[in-house]
Amino acid sequence: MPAFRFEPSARLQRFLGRELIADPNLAIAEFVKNAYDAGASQVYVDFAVDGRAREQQALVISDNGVGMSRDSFERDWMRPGYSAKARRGATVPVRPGMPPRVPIGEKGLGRLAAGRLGNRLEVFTRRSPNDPWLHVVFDWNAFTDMDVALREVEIPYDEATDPSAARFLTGTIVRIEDLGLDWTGLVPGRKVAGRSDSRVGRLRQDLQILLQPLAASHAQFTVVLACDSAALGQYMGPVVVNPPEVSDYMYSFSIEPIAHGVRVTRRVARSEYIQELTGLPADDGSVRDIIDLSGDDETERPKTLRSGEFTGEFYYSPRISKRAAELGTPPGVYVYRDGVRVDPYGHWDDDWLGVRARKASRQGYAAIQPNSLFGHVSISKQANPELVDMSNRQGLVQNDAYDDFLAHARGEFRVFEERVFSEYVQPNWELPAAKAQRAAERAQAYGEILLRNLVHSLRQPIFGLGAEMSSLRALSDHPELPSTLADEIIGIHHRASDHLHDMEAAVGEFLDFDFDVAYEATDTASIMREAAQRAAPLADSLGVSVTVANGHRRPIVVPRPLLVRAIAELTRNAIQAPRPPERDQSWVKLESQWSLGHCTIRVIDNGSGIDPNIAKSILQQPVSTQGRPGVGLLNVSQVLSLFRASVHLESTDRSGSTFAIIVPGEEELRKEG
Amino acid sequence: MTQPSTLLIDDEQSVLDSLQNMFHKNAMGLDSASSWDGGIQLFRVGLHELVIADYNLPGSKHGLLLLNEARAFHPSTEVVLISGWLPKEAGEAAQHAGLIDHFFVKWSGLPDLLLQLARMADERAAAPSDWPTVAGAFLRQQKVKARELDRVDQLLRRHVPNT
Repeated sequence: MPAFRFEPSARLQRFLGRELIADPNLAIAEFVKNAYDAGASQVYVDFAVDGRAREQQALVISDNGVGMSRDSFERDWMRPGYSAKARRGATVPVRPGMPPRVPIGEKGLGRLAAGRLGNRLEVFTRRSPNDPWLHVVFDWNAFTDMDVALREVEIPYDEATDPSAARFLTGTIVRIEDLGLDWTGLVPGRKVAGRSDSRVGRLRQDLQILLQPLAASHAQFTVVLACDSAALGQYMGPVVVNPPEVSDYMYSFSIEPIAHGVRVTRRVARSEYIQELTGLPADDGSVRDIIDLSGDDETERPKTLRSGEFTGEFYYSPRISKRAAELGTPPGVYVYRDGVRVDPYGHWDDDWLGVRARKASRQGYAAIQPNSLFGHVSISKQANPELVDMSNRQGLVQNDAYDDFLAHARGEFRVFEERVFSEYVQPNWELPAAKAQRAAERAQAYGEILLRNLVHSLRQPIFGLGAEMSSLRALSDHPELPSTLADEIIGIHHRASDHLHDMEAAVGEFLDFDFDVAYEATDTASIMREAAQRAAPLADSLGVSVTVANGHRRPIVVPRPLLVRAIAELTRNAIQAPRPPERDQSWVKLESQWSLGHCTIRVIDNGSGIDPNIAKSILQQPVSTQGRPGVGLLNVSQVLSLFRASVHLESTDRSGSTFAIIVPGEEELRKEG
Repeated sequence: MTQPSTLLIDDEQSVLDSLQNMFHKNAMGLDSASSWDGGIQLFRVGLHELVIADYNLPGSKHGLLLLNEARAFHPSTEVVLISGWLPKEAGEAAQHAGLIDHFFVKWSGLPDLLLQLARMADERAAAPSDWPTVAGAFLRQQKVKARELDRVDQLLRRHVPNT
């Protein structure tokens, strides 16, 4: 039967090479993976850039792997999409004494990524020092004409050209020229937390996380960056695969399918810091949890594991705010298949576990800060055959296996996050409140001490002043003193004594003030009577009558001495309020009423009212009025606020003034908490 | 001028000056000291009828202990404890324990009160010794138990800063 055959255009190479892989670092990583699959123990990534324009710069990747013969090169390299490593049971030809490796590559496309790096590619490869170097030259510019078939583009090779300054006697050397970007420069765009600004620096970071830390298969595989420019010296040298150095939490899990669901085994380890803070042990040991298919388990987790079993570890250090800056390793939870990273999981702009999304949904208050989270989830070709890389290295192919994998991995992160929240974050959130409470208590205690110290200090000069007053009076009795002078001295003595008594009264009030008065159930009638009694001497001296009316027996719960003090102060103020001359009687009335769960106590006088300009601020700041200084009313307001009561000037006019104290009832206080 | 029969011990020099001036204006003598050592030395020489001491004086011994020392030396001396710090109840506890004769909080009218006590002390000093009173004072002093003294002293110290 007649059949069509694909006749790829030469331009296909452009799409597969230059445009399939977006990140040039991924392109270099493909060659490093190839070296790994070739059984290499060392890979050098050399930058020949010093003093050269971009077009003259070169990138050379050399490995000491098995190398290729002409036939194997033609069979493997020259057949895009073909990969012997993809065959089931394929192994990596490692040297004797090296640990076995599972081959990473499988798509047969990685080598084409050279087109992403530069327009010219030279390959040198040989298997034995006795073999000539196979030298192959690719000019990717020859692949731009879409009218030319892919197979028509000639790729010259020879076995007569030796590489200059080859690092190894055997293996493969890939030399890329006419580079697509300047590797000595900075990465354009905004800065990324934890990521180097330098192209080479960022490459180094990506290579550091290319291989899973502590994986046995990587024990004898070293990637070295080298450069002929001193300016890039800080990024050169062996790329060390760093296991987490500092972590306060280590959470490990393994997930496996069982008969009726999924079994998850978890373990939490804590640093000494967390142990001291939480009182929890260093290690919880392994804890098993079953997500049962048959039960009524309402967990969000799927009850299937179509991806196959996998494991993971999360490392978190809440004390480290910029992990990358401190440890030199970018944060992120990476996915490793057989020890080699699967892009882009864990990349700075890939939030596959939803760590940043959860932080954003909580308006920034997440238990786990993305920049301090490190970890890896491990899969393998053998256990997870359905978890397949996409060709463009942009993640795993989305299928049922991937859905289960993603859901369970995110589920484990949520469990870990909840653990950190309940053990570390939540108690710390309470601490600030407790600290604030203690600070407030300390401030109050300190304020009390300061006030008492100040007041006690006043007693000494008052005592001394009393002695001087006594001396003054004795002087006024001196027989040789002219009588006019004596009278004047007596006058001074009387006025000074009044001032002294006022000062003493103020000192006494402060010393009598008990900041820590207990609440007690009492009634307004008795409170008002006591306050009136306190003000009685003043009332008697000024001929003002004070009556208590409508006192309720309904109980209120208040610090009684403070309320009595406040009412007494208002009463004294009312007693001393100026009266117009035509007023026959001067009186002050105290009354109370209950309404809407609040008790209102009114102090009413028949004075001549308060100046409207003063009335506005009479309870907010000391205001000098005729009679007593306004500081007394300010004290009333402040004292009442201690137990959530308040005072306001209800009315004032020429017929008198009314101050009202509002005291919340017990039920209102309960509502307010 | 005859030997003053009143001794005042207070570390505040301005207060001592004001009281000295007051006593002088009232034609009365007053010995004063600003420290316990100085006060005790003066007392051992003058054997004053009335010793007025501030509670909070610099040094390890507070006024109560040193007043007791004075009374132990001369039991018939009237000892008055004054203080700007101690609350009335604390001072009265010392009085009820028989450790002092009077306790007064420092206030503006206290100097006049002290003057009255000083006049009475002057009269006692001028009169012949009242031996029954003296004997009674000795007996009373013997009854003062060290444990009670410590207890009251600790009680008073709690009210005073820097103790």
